[in-house]
Amino acid sequence: MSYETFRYPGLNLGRAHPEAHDAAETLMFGFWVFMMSDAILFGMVFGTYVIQLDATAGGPGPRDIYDIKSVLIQTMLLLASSFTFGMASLSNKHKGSPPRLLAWLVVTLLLGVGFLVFEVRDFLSMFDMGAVPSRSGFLSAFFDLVPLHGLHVTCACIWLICLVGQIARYGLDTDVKLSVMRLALFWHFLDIIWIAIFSVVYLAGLA
Amino acid sequence: MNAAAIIEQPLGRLGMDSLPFWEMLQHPTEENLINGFIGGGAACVVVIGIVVVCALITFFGKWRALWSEWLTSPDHKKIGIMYVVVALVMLARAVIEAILMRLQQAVGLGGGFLAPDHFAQLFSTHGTIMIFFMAMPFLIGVINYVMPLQIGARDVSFPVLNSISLGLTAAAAMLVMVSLVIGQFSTGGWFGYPPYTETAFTPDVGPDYWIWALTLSSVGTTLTGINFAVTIYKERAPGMTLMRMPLFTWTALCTSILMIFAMPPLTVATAQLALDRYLGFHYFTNALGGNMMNFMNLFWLFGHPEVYILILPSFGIYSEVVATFSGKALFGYRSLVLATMTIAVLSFTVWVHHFFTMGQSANINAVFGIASMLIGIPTGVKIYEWMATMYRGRVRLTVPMVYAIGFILLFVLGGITGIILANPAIDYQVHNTVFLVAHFHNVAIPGVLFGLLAGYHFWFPKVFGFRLDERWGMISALCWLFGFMLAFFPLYALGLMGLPRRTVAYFNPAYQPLEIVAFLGALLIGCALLALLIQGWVSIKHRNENRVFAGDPWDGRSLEWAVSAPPPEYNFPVLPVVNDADAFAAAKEFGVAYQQPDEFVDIKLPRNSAMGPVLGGLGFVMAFGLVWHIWWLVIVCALGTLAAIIVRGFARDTVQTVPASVVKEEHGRWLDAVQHAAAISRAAECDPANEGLAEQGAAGATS
Amino acid sequence: MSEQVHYPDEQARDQRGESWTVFHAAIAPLKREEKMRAQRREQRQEFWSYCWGLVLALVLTLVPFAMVYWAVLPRFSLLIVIGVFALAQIIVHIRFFLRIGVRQKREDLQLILFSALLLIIMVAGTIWIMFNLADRMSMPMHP
Repeated sequence: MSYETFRYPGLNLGRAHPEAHDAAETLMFGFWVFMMSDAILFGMVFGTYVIQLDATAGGPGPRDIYDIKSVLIQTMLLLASSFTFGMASLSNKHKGSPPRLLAWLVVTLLLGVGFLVFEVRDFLSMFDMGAVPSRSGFLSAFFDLVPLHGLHVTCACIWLICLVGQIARYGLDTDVKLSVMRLALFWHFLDIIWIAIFSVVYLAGLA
Repeated sequence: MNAAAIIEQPLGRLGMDSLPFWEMLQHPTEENLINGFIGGGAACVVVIGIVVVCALITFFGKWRALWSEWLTSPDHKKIGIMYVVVALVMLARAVIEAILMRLQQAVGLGGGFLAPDHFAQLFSTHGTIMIFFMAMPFLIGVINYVMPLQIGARDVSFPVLNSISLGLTAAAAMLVMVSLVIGQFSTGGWFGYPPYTETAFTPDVGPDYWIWALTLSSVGTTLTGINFAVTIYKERAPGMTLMRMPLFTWTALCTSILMIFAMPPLTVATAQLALDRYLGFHYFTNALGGNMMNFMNLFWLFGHPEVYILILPSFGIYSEVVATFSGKALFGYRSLVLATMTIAVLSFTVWVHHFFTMGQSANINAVFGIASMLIGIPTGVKIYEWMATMYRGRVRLTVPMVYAIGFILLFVLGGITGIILANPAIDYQVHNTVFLVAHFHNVAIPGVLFGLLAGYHFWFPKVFGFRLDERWGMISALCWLFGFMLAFFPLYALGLMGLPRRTVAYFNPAYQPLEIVAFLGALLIGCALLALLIQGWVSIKHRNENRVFAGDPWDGRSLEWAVSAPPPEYNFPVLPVVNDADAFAAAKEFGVAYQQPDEFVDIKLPRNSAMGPVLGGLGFVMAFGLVWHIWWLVIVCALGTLAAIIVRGFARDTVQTVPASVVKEEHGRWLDAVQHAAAISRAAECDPANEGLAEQGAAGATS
Repeated sequence: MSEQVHYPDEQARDQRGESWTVFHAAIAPLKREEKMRAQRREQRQEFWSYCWGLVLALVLTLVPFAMVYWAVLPRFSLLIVIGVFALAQIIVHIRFFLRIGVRQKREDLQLILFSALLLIIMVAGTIWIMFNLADRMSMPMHP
């Protein structure tokens, strides 16, 4: 039985608080279950997208509206933000110092907001081309799937801002630490969803 | 949807014509008058009901108590009770609607008295309510109350989330009730198939009510599922391994897993329909690449597991009831667990049997037909095991047992017609006839409702500390049983004769005799509901004679019987240690029940939180705003919801402590009562002599 | 230090194999110095795990991107390559960012696998049924 097997990875609340660790296990497991439920939600939206792929009704199709360079930038921003959140998790776990954690969180937030800015810019240019959701079944499905992910990222960003507020108010207490851990899971999970979007929607759409 | 529209129409689509009697006043034809009186009468019942309840609370000065002891309470027991109250209120409404529909059909030869639109609303609300606002809250309530006690936990894992789930479910139920008073409900059936429910064909508010009621309740249910599953995984008492859990807890676990994974497709389906209706998307429209068949696919991806969400907890209740009232351990516990798990997983592989006639190839139908038939195997295993449990047991024909035996007889019939319907070739012949209606009522009423009512009678003494009146309970149970048979067996024949479901009127006189029989059955079910009410009244009146404070009126087998009735707020003064399946039965057998622990410690409990009622209230108002296109209200509520969640994130002082001394004192009082109670034999179970202490080592089961 | 404290729920953790007492007993004999060193080592390992994750993810993103951008393969082969790389990248993210390993005594991995099973049943079923229907109904739905 090694050190690692006893402890939730990413958590270091000090060894004097086993009860807090128990509560953490429950919280993290609960959040995992929630994410899996969310994954099913995304799965069904992906399914809808795939079966609506050719229902363009004479309107613009994937090749007409996807801007692959912008998408690559979004992908890189999100990937970088996943890494910086990993760094934030490390400071959350090992360094008791709020400034380092705060710095990584703010960097992550900026990357997340940058992603959203590029995404919204893409949507607006699609609208300019007449590719609005009410144009066809395909566009409806596209504007269900990709903005749903964007909405999740927006929620994650709001959560991040609240976390910064909580750190300012309470410092690095147990609740904040647990919150950072859950948000980290959520953030990495959204990155995985983005891999699927990047591959299924954009790469496959342009292949 | 711009700023100007908000100022010009601050109430959106809401107007005088939204009132149920408006049409009657404008065009007083005979049909409009009848339907107006029925609709207006129903609305009046809702309004008067709310006014009376509010007046009573004010009269007794209970508003503060209602808020601080009930609505904001994170206690799983109180939340469970509130769920069941919601379910019983909705049950009453849906049964009355059913009787009205049966009456219409009984006189429906060539017309009847209800307008087609009114009839369509009746079957849509009846189905929606029975599934989402009767069966679901009922079973969630029962699980909420019983499951943490059975696994020896203090509460569920996330008590405040539990309260939020209740708030959302109650908000959704209120939305359905409001649709009686303002505007109308959907006419698209409980599954609201597009394109009929699209704006092009149903521009009114009906489908919007349906969409938001379902969305609110499905979010609430998903959260409940997460909560229950995590609780069962993480909060079990020491020694309570998975294979020592009572079977009801097992079924609760499987149901929670189904809720977690089956609710998202429903959320997607209703959200996409909402996008179609509100923003002109094209998921399910006829034009511009919409694909309405995908709605069926999504809906039944949820809908079929939903069937098992409903029925598995009832299977669990039957298992507890049959074992307890036979005085024996459950026969074949392991295979029952396995069967439950198998059903849960298989339930995700059969959804196409709800739309065999959609137009997909025969190969697909064959695959899903075979998968559907496979479910009969684990279910059959269960039936045999309940019977084997009774075999040579000390069987007592109490009310729950009557429900259980009635269930076994009737459910087999329902199951067999299910196997018949699982054959695509036969399904092509009888789909969309009342044969199907007969089939699913035949599994849903004995399977789900009887189980929940059996659970209601079984655990009522635990919850409120006194037994229910046995005589009125028996009358009610028999009325349910025979009412069900009269109401639905004729429908099998009618279905084979070709009567389509959901027809407001028919023109073949051969249908009428059987329709009248079915109506009599519906009346009998109405009597059953009445008897249930009377039973409640009588039982409350005689509550002091039927107290079972010692907590074990039925010689129970699992941990919920090992505490006082009603249980203390913290459930267990010291968390129990489990060494056996049927933990409490084993403890009694070895004489180690009712122990005084060596030491008591302070118990930490969650503080009350207003999150449940606040989010529920905001959700309700937001849904109302969405239905009536009152956009400013929607925006205000959305911001309010976000603000509430953020503020909650800043809350820190969320735990309260029950001091060890209080725990010790309460526990001592209970142990005193147990010592002074007279242990009764199983023959005196329904006697006032039953104080909740069971005689041990008496003549009982033979194995 | 804390192993003397009595926790009422201790036995619950024992039964689930999560005993903190065992953990304290195992770690107590170590000197403080060693503990610090173990922690630093762990921290370094985790840091490199995230770095590895980033590098692998970058490669797995950029290779299919380049293949699509310069269209080096016929369409069908490209789709397969995209699918394989996406799957690999998802596993990399789960392993290096979400830090789910096969050796951990936690329910997370089982949960993920079970969810993946249901996801496959639901999504593949949807696609199978709806494409079959489209075939038979001559609906415009072919990728």
